[in-house]
Amino acid sequence: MKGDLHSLVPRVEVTRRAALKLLATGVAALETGCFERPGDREIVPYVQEPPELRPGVTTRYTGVLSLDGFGYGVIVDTHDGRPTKLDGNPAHPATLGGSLPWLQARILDLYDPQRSREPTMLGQPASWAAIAAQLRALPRGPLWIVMPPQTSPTIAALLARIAARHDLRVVTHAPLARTAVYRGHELVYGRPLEQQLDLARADVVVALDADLLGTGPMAAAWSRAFASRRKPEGGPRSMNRLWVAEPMQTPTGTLADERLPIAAGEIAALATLIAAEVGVALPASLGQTAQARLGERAASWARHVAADLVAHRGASAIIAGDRQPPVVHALARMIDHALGNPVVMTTPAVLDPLPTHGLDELASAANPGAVLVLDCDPLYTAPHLHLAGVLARSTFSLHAGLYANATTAACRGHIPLAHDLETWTDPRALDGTLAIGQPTIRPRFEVASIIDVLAELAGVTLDARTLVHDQLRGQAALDVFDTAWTTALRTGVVAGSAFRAETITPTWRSPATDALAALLAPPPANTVEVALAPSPALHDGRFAPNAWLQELPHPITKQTWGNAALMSRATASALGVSNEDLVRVRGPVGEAVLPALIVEGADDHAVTIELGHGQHGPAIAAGIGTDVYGLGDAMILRATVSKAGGTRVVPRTQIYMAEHGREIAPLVTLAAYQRDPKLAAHLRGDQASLLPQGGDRFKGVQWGMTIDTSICSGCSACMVACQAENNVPTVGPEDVAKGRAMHWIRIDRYIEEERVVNEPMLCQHCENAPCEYVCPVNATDHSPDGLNEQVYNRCVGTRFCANNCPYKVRRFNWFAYEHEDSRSLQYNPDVTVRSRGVMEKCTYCVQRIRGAEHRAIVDHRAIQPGEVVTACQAACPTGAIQFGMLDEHDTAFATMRASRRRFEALHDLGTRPRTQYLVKVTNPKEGA
Amino acid sequence: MSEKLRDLHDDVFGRMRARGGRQWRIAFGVCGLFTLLLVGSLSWTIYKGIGVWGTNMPAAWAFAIINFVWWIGIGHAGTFISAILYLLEQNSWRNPISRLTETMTIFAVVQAGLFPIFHLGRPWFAYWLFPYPDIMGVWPNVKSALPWDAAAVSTYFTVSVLFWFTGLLPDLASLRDHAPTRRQRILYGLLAMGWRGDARSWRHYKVTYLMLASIAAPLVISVHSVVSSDFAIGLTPGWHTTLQPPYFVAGAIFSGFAMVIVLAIPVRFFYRLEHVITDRVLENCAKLMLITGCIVAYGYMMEHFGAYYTGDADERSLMFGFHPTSIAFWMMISCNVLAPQVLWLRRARRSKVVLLIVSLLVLLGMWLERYVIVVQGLLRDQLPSAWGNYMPTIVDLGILAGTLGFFGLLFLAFLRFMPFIPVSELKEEAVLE
Amino acid sequence: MRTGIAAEFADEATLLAAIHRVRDHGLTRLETYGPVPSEAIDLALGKERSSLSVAAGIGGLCGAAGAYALQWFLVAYLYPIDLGGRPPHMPLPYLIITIEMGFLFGAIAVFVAFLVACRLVRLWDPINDVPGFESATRDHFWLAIDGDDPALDRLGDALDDAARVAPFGGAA
Repeated sequence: MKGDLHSLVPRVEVTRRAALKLLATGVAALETGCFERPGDREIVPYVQEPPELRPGVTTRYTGVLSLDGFGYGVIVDTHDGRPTKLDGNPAHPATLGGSLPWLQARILDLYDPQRSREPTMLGQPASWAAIAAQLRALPRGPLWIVMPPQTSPTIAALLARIAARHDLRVVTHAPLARTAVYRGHELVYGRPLEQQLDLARADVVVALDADLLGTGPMAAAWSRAFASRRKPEGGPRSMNRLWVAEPMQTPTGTLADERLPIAAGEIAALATLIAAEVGVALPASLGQTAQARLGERAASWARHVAADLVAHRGASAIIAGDRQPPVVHALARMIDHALGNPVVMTTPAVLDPLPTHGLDELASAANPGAVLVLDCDPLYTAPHLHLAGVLARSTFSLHAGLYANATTAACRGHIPLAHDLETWTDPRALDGTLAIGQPTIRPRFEVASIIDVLAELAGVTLDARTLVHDQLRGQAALDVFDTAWTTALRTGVVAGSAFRAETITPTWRSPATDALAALLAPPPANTVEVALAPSPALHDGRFAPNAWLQELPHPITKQTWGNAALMSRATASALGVSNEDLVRVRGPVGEAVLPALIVEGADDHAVTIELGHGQHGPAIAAGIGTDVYGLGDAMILRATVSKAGGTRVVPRTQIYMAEHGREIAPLVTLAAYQRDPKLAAHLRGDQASLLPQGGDRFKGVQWGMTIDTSICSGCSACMVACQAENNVPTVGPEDVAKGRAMHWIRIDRYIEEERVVNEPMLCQHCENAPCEYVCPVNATDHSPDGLNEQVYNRCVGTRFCANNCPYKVRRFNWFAYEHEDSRSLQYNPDVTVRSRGVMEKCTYCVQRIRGAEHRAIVDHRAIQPGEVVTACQAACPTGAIQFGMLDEHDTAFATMRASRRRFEALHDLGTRPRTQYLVKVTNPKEGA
Repeated sequence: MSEKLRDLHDDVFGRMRARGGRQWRIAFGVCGLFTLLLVGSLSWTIYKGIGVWGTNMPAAWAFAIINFVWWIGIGHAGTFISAILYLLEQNSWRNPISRLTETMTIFAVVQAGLFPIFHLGRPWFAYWLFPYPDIMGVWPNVKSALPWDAAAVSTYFTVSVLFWFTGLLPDLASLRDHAPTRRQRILYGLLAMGWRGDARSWRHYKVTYLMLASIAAPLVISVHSVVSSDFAIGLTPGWHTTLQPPYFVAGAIFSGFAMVIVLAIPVRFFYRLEHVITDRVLENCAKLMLITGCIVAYGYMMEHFGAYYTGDADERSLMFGFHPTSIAFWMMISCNVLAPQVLWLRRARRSKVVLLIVSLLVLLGMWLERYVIVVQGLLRDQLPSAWGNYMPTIVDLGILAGTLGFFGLLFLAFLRFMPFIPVSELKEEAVLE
Repeated sequence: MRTGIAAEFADEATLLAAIHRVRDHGLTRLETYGPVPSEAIDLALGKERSSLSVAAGIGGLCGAAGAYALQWFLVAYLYPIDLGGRPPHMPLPYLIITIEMGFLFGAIAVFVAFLVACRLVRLWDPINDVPGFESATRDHFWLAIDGDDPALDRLGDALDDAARVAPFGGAA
């Protein structure tokens, strides 16, 4: 098993189309080698198998993924030594068991054939050992390391050792770093602190340009906390109220009870007004300037927010978005303090929250010395700094990344970076909780992790596992350490490692006043705001090579494979454009041309564009979307937007978002619900039918699913989870534009004026399924436990069932979409991979149901409530999707099933669906 | 009387044999090219997958099913003329064209029959729609309209071929007996199966012909009703209505008569058979086209009335809203409702140019009608989030054009090698006069 | 007929007269050949209407009954499958294939019976060797008298109106 096996792998020119379909089978055959590293044992023949490894049965491990430094504990399902599925670890504070789309999709990166496969130096293949030797032998002198924010104690220790050997300058670079948050807290607390938000205790939540439920390091955990307070059945006391002010619709905005479209640059004025109203002691001039800056609608909204906050003092929360300038965050903390909210401030988990060295410092360095760029792409994310120059001036430059990206070509050497699942890591969550990440698969190529690289620089000859192990031991009592280590690996977290709350109160000082006054100045005329936003799927662009994430429909626009200039209807007509027309955006530094999309609920004075698109490689990402990093060096810019002429197709999975008078996604206010709890009764229950009902069709356990639209934010983690669990293929932008996306579950969005409902739509498993009786070959039938079954090997592909499904949840394999390259290693072996010409659809994760049945038979017991969890249910961070047996008691599913909010979609068609929904209830303020 | 028979025989057979030489060859060559296009397009579809067509979700059925229904519909007029008009004793004007139309039916059914196979995602398993004992122990689902289609179309094809072939026997015998070359005599002799015209055979022939006509006649109604049930048993708006069977049958005969006129006018021109396929024949075809056109127009009205009267939100939105497919709808109304109205005028019915133009418009209009029914209902069904758009691809168009070419190829071959005027039936009429 | 006498007539009327004369002379084993069917000829020959309609009826009924029985057997008995709650046995949907199969087997039955009854697919018959017999499919009518007819010697002048008389199949 030597590493040079990979040198036999031909360099395959992978076009996006080919990358999505089959590659030469020779490549797949040769990719079974693995990479031997120090610390691995020699091979021993499998005479006695380890008891925990049973072929065909899932073995689960804990693991940790990192993003922008923060750790996310995951549970890794492995089959025969191969990880196939990730889920949030319920014990980890960042996920609490839920997921985000990128977390689900990272399993695909593990087997991505586009990953770089061998280290190179000066364009020639090199070995890790040779490069490591070069790192160890670097002369003492300036050493720059550019990498994303880090939280790992091991990395901190290694950096300290490196600093002793070199003139080390660490540049923490991430486009979505939360530096503004830390600077803001420094303004009022005197040092950078992190806020630990507890949404479960908040009756009123105010989000100022903060997509706290959709993006951000704690989105999954905060979603769960937020949803726990959103129960209309319990009356006004048990239902929180969410106020959202934002320039563009976000998942958080779809759950808002009261929403104000407002430009991101105006948030500072809004926050000032709210602060003044709740009693924060601010200079009066600030309040007046803010009042003048805002329109009457925004000012009135601010007053209502303030009144509600005051009415719930001590039980509210206010949060500003990560891209807001520091002083807005400072204001938010002052508001919390004025209201007596229980604010928990801790040390930040990131190692240097206020970076001492910046990329611009590196860019202007005359003699930079050695430059290492680890796990980021500054040539793409900071193009205005022209870092290629400084890299050329360096004495030694190395890039480490999962893929060869824009920065790779400018560096002398390149090392493939280890995936989080291939190496040992120890990142902290936002609240400081340490989690030890263990590898669950041997790397197939010669890779190194950040710890490996830093260890070589530090002259340390230990492997990553030893380093992480020893680092943890240094912080624990020796006699119980081995148990603590095993427990940490088994549970996925190091117990008690969260940071303690600091006892500290914020004070408003003059630097804050000056900063705020600068922000409140009116913006330059004849410009419009362009707000750059993180991509819910691609983050800052690092996930661009991931086909699942490229094809994930945007929660609001349902766009796939690219970005667009998102604007309100009024803005679009002022520009003279409609959907898919090209517009030219001229920012302070550069310009971009991209298609426009109209979004209901966007502010009229702001255009939002997502980051992360328009990269040149790898193959899947090449040419997809438009690069807007070059527009300017801030997230909120002033720019001019004009019509550019021409159109570009925007592949969207949902184009029509109105209900047209049909009761498909009802929405009521809490007051209306309390007046009439029977409001959904006409949308569920028996229909008059010619068909005989009852009988002995259904025997034994009966399965069903209920989805609460009140807490579905549209984050779409369920869509990727289903894709990972059920081997659902991707089809590429051309086919998505043609209407052939393959997602088994989709989030339908219905908008009417101000009201928005997210309705996840999947197979309804109708008891009187219209799809079953039209199949000519009996390829779809009904099981005795209530599932609509699709028999792949019997399907001849007439597609009559798809025509007869009123919910249009059935999918057809128009081409041979299945992977034949290394991505087939991710396939779940319990689920058939469908061939060309066959229909497929949601199966209620029947493989999990049958697995539970088998276990129950072996154990001579019945299936326990909660034993079968569908992939979408497990991934949903709010718990909106609940699946279970119809005769369960005392579970979340049973509670939902008994709710009076329960309704069936398209009830009057008489399909009797097992998948049912709960009416969305909002909690607007009376008289607002 | 014998002179009459002899003159009739010599005249008609003589004109049928005038092959037209170069003109026929050019037409055959063009049709041959389109047939190659058909073969290529279908092969490409099998090789790559149905994805090379424009079908998507929600329009999972599009050109293939439209073409299928359109071709079967065209076929129905052939049987209407040869069987139903025979039973209604309209022989005086039905006889000259009955063989042409019966042949048109068979070749139209051949075109139609391609689609239930090639529109499948896995066409190599098309035989699973028939009941045979297999390893899986599973049988086809007889509650679904598609096995009904399989039964109805194969029945229709078989019965049409038997009916057509039975009628051909006496004329094939004529060709055998008066063949100029030995090779032709052998070929026709094999086909004629030894027909000698003995009284015993004629007695059985009359009854057999009557029986086959009596079986083929109800097939005209039932087969297209079964095809319409492909839509009627589904719950898509615009599909799910009891109007479908009579509406489809009337539309089928409507488009079929249009095709009969489109074929009969050139045939009688190029073969100089104006005295056999007389103006009266064409005029009666035009009248029947007008009548069935009015029935079809009534069907359009009922569709909309039903949507209004039932108050079904999905139906109303479909029927009374404006959609991307509405252009096709209005073109269809122009071609199917407005254009045939000119046939109320006797001058129009007598003018071959007008007949030809109106018939071509009707054929186009009936294709558009299937498009509106199939695609519009699917694109705008009950769940607005699933609404989509549909755009055909070059392969879709290639297949449609290819079937037209293949039909032409078969028809031209028939004109050249087989007796396309039923001379024996004309002789029967002559004797009775 | 393996052997016999063939006589050609210019039209149907002459043929009819000849048939009457021949029958008056006591010959019974006759057959006529002509380009058109004729009820008058059938009457003159004393033949009855063909009973092939029975074949069509039997074929149709067997086809229909068999189709319904097959559907019931396969779908409602052998392997009933739960399809959206629809009962396995549903008479109305079954009727569609039943009716179509009735038509199909009725047509096939009558066609096969036709071939059998006409003793067709006998590409050659002795009478085909008579020169000029081709006119039977063009404009003239022929009368064939079986050589084994017992009353053959009483033929006399019954065929005098014939345009041509010739033996076929061997001896006369």
